[in-house]
Amino acid sequence: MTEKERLLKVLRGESVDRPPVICPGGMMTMACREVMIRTGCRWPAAHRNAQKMAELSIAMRMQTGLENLGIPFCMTAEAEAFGGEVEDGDEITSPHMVQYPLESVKQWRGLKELNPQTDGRLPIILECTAILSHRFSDTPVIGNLVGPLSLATSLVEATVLFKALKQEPEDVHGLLRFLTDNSIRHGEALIGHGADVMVISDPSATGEILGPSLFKEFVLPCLNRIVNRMHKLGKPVIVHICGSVRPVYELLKELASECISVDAMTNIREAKNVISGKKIMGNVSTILLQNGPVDKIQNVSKNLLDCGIDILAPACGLSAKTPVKHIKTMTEVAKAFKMYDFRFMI
Amino acid sequence: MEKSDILYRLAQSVIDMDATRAAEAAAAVIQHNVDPYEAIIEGLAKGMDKVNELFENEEYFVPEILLCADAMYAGIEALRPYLPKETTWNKKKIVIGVVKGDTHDIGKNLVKIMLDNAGFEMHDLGRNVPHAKFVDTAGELKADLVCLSTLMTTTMDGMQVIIEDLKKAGIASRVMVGGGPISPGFAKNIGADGYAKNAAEAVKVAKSLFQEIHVPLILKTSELVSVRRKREGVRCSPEMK
Repeated sequence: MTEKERLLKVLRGESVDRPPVICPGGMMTMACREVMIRTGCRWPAAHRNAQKMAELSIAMRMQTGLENLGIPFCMTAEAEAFGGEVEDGDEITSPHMVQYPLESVKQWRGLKELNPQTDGRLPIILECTAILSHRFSDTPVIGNLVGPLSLATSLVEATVLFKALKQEPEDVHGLLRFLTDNSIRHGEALIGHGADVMVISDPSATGEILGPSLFKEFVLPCLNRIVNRMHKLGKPVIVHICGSVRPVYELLKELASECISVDAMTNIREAKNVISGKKIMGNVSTILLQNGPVDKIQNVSKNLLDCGIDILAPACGLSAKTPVKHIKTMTEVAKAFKMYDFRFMI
Repeated sequence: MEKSDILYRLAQSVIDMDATRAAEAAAAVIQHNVDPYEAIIEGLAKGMDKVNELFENEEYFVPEILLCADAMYAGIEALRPYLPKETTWNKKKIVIGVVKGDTHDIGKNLVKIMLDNAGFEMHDLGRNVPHAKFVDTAGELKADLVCLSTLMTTTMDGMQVIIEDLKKAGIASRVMVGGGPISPGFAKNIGADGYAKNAAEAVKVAKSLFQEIHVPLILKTSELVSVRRKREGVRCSPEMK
């Protein structure tokens, strides 16, 4: 079974020999300094060069045992294409927003429709996706999108947006509809360039910040519209939500995606129980992976697999300071894991 | 109108996220000669305490907290001209910011609102703040507390750099840290004086940091008298009765 077959089978709900172990990229960054130094494809240059981006991603796959290719290395590409100002960071700090294009939610009507072929870094990401998909037919190439609400918090000050949810709901709906349409277009382009699986990261749309009623009104419809369109194009979708999802457990059942990725604080046994019918991805603590020790990474990974995690992954991507040895520890545990075959246990 | 009615209206306007009603209730405070300081503490701040409770019970979430805080500020703004200017004389000074390399500031903003509400004098450096800026500002203001926030694992180590630089510069400010990846263990290891896991806890921790310390107020007699007079003025100013 190839890495791509295994991931696609899991997402389709078919049986596999063991859970895949991946790190999707995008907000859940799949890069570390050790590999950058070894390959010479370093941050920040790799953020704006399709060839370097591809090589760093490939080297991560080869040197850590992760079973996917995931780009870009940040979640600012869409916001930048919409006119936000981004600071590229350095070898360990990923690109981050320093200037928002909007001062108020009402100004969203001034945003230009996104053209993934020309705007900001999006063409570089498309080119890199094509390179990766062309060179690797057996490893899944992941297309990354930022969820509309999180994208909105990169276009306008988060506190302004959060207040507007209650005070100017119509304008927020307008902005989110617009961003959803544009994310769909970017997603279509990623799939057109060879992405096998789509991941939507929506870190700001956490139940902890919004609570269930705002999550239901503002987040769920946008995410589902993107997911449904990606499904029409034949691609499975994983949705990542940061922080505590407990306040929105019930609502997560209404997500149209095959799989939900959760933060380190989420208890997997509980999540599997409550959000039944969905595959769960996660959630080896990003900090544990950075700091170790190795035996604890082993125990946590093994425990997650025993709890029935469907896809093993770092909870919130990788810190660039994570040693390769630590990532390998996690991937080796997944690869050594044997699923119990319940048919023979009866 | 009874004083208790006015205080209730102040508190309720904060709970209801209604800045207009908060300002109206504040106008009633002045009209009915209620002590504005008492109106803030027993009215607006009481409302915010209830809001904290609703937040802890997951009835309110971040958008609600932000609007409640706006209502509270609308009330305080309306009362400010009637407060003696020196009400801040004994406030502890806090410098707060998100460490360089990170621009996530929702958590920091919430902590700022809560600490401000709890009576601290807040100096907000914003986000993506260079290490030296914390040290310089803390030194200039003789800050009592420096609050460092980050959501990114990669910028955590910056906190330790700041703590060491503060020590090197001989600045006596205490340091409280918080943010997604920060644990109590990490806070202890880097030599922070306090750790808070959320905004409500930040208030408790900040208060506890100053509880056991008795900073001797060395003031000349005349100043002491004037300070005391002003302080009394705050509590029950004859002009306002």
